[in-house]
Formats: sequence, structure tokens, C-alpha cells
Amino acid sequence: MHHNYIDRYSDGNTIIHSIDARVKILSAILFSIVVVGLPRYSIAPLIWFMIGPFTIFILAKIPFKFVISRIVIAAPFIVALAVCYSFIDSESRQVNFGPWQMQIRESLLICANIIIKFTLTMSALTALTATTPFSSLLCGLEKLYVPRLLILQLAILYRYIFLLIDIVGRYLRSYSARSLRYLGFKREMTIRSAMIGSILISSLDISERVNLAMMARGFDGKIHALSQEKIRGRDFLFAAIVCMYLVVLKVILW
Amino acid sequence: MHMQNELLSMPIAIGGFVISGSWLSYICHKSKKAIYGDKLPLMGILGAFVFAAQMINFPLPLFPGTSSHLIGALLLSIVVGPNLGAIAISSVVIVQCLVFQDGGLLALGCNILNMALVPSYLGYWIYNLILHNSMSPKRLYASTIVASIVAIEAAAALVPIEVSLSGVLKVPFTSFLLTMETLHLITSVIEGLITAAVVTYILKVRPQVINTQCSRESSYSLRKVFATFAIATLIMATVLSILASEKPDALEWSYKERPDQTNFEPIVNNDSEKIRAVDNFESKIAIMPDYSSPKAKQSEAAISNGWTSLAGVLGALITMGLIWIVTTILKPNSIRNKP
Repeated sequence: MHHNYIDRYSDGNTIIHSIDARVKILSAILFSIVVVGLPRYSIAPLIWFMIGPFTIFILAKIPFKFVISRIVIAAPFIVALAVCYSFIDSESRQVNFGPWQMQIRESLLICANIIIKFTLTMSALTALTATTPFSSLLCGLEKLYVPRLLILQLAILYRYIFLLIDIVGRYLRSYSARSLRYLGFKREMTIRSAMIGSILISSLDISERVNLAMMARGFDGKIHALSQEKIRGRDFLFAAIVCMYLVVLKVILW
Repeated sequence: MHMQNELLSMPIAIGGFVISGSWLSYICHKSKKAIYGDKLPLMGILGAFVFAAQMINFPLPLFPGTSSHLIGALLLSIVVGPNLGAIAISSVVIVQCLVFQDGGLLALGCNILNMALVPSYLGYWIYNLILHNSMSPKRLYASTIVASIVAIEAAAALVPIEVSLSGVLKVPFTSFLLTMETLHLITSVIEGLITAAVVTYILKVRPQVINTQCSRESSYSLRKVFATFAIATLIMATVLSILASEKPDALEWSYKERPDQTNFEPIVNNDSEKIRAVDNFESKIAIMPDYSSPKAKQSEAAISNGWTSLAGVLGALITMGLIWIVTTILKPNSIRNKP
């Protein structure tokens, strides 16, 4: 698995990429809070909230195909729930949309509302993670007082995902090269469990080696980075624009 | 089982963050010595291991074409003890949220609680309860399967509870709960089988890895965990009550719905003139109410509302189109400017 697969677009050099991670994280959280707090029956006004993430995608040159695939991958659970909603009987409402007037059940409205809100918050999250390398995301989180222990865990986790996934890829390839047919549930399960077990053992071995290497280099629980991330003018500008955008929409639409 | 933002109200989301944050920091604090001693890379790598292990699919026997994969919370807490296992799985959930966009940013607290903390501890507790220091294969299988069923069902039950506490649930609570439980029953049995098989394999190949010492060391007193849990709940309840008293109905929509809904019964009776005035003002400036009550069927107001909402949608689309056009026009210039 290539490293690029996960944060393919995060090392660009557009203006959005250069904005401080802290500002982006807080903006994404604020955006999600505002969107989740919106009324449950409204649909049409929600589309105005799409403009924000949309602009960021355009400015950061992130292809929409990528964004859509990200949202679709995360969708199944919420879509299943929303569809469950739509089967409930509830009083119908008169919906006026341009020249069309429809009687739509309230539950269908809620269903659509949930899916749209999901798309909105997911695109905000995608806008955050697709324009910020994971390391600076962690740096930002650390500056936002997330415990350092957790940050270290996440950093190491992110470093080794690719390594271990490569190992699994090798296992699976060699397994499929040697097995010609389905061997029955019990046999298959034993084989696959053995794979998982040996990956677990090898990851424990890796962690021991890494630990020794870190100790040998005098690791004291702190990552000493050269860059002192400072909030600059453009970060303030971005934060101000996001706040203005959300406040204006909130006031005008509701 | 990853919850999205939309399923939770703000107080519940914040409550989830408070509970799982305090729980996690308690574990981190408790196992700080072990972690900074020699376990620091261990947990990160175990997290990565969970991702890698999830790539191995287990074909399900009864449903051809479908497959399941390991979740890992129980396996890790058996191998390295619930404290370290819970930290590793929590970091997995965080990375799933930030990198793979599984689960929303606001729901992260609840997701950590549901998928990392509760299954790790509950599963480990039940596993030890049934295993009772004997390592016979039958007992191992039985204890792992029961532990995984209980742990995963408990986690699956937490989802409808949190959603219904948020007031988002329109489906009857019991039917949602039953659906979740039956869906996760199959998963949990398979998870138990896989975990048991993996543990058997490790016991065969390298028994010292399943570190009895490690699990003894972290044989936390359950009482303390419950105490932390209780305190966190108390804190959450206080926070909730403060929120509730500040805003008559902390669930914002129940207030926001009022202006457009003439026969809406306010949850809290607040008959002051000022609030009325604000309501009226809001209903006046609400440009795009895209629904109206059935009574106002043919009234002109309803139709004009329809037109404004159409105009609103079109406006938003046009804005997005304009942004696109402007950037595509600007693009060649920026390329040309490059050396």
C-alpha cells in the first residue's frame, strides 16, 4: 500500500494548505456544531452551508471525485438509519419548492435532512484532513492541549499502519497463490486466525525493536521539532472568514 | 457502529467527550510508568496492527459472498491487558475519524466510549470471570465468545441509548435497540471465534506473549473504574443541568422550530413578551422556510415561500458555479506565472 493512498492531497502548496492546523481544526469543529444544531425539517437552506467546504475544495485543488468517494465510504450506517426513519408513519407536510407543491411525510423530510447534514459535516472533515498532513494535524492537536501521550500513540500508529498493511498484503498474496479453492469455514478460519496471530507477534517484535532504538537515541517522551508553528495573519483572516460565513448564514437563514 | 454527528445533540456529544476523556486520561495516568518504560511504541504499533488485521476478511458460512473482519478490542485487552488495549483501540478510533472519516468529529467522544472503552473493559472482565485461570481450549473458546458477545452487544446497545437521549430518535427506541442487537449478534459471535482462534495460535506459538504478568499488573480495581465513571456522570449531569437552565431547551431545534410552526407546543413555558417578539422577528426574517403546515395549503404565503426556497437553492448552486468558473478562469494564469 502506498503512503499516498490516505493523504494524497495533503501536501499541496495552495493557500488552504498553508493555513495553521489549529485554525482549521477549530473551524471544522465550529462548522459541525453549527450544522448539527440547525432545525431538523429544513432542507433547502442547508445547501448554502455547502458553499464553504466547496470553496475550500476548489481553492485547495482537491478533486470532487476524491471527496465524493470519501463521503460514500463513510455513508452506509447513517443511510441505513435514515432509511429506517423514512418508513415511520407520520403526518405529512406541505412542501413548496418553486412551482412544485408536494405532500411529503415528515419522516422523509427528517431523513433527507439527516443525509444532507451528514454530507455537510463529512465534507468539512474531508476538507480538514485532505488539506492538512497528518503530522501537522497532530502538531495542531498537541497545541490544542490534547495529551501528549495520545499524540505520540497516534504518531506511531500512523507511521506503522503502512508497514503492517504491507506485511498483511504479502501474507494474503502468498495465501491466495497457494490456495486454489474454499477450504470450508473451519479450516479457513484457522488459517486466517493464524495469519492474524503471526502479524500480532511480529508487531510485538517490531515494537520491541523500535523501543530499543528509541531508548538508544535518548528518547525522553518528547518530540523535538524544529518548526515553531505560529499563527499568522492569514490564519486570523481564515478564522474570521469562517466565523463571518457561519454567523451570516445562521442569521439570514434562520 | 461508527456514529455520525447528526445522531447526537450537543449535550450528549459533550458528555461523551467528558466521560471518555476522563476515562482515557485516568488510564493514561495509571499506566504512565509502564508506557514510558518500554510500552510506548507498543501501543501505537498495536493500533496499526488492528488496521492491518482488519484487512483479512473471514468469509461467513451461512451468508455466501459476505465476510466479516476482526474488530480487535477484546484481542488486544486479552494480550496486553485492558488498560493498554483500550488506549490502542481509542487511537484507532481517532485515526478512523480523522483519516478515514468513519464517524463524525463531534461524535468522537461517544464513539471512543462505545467502541474502545466499554468493549475492552467489559470483555476483559467477563473473559477473566469465565476463564478463571484455567487455560483449557474449550474454556478459552467459551469465555472468549461469551466475552465478545457481551462486549459488542453492550457497545451496540449504547448507540440507541445515546441517540434517544439526544432526542433525535424518531423510531421507537425498543425496535432500534432490537435491530442493533440482532445485527451485532452475528458479528460478535464471529469476533469471539476469531479472537479465540488467534489466542489459541499465539498460545501455541509463543505463549509468553499473552502476558499474565502484564494483565496482573493492570488488574485494576473495578471499583475505581466505576467510581471514575460515576464521577464523570455526575459532572456530565451538572454540565447538562447548567446548559439546560441557560437555554430553556438545550436541544436547539425545539426552540428554532417555533417561529414557523403556529401550533407548536413549547417545551418550556416562557411567555415573556421579549421572546415572543424575537420569535416573530425570526419568522419574519426567515427567508427560506421550505415547509409550512398543511393548513396553510393554498395561501399565497405558502406559495411565495416555495418560490423563495427555490430561489435560495438556485442561488446557492449559482454561487458554487461562479466560484468554480472564477477559479477555472484564474487557473491558467497561475500556471503561466509559474517558472
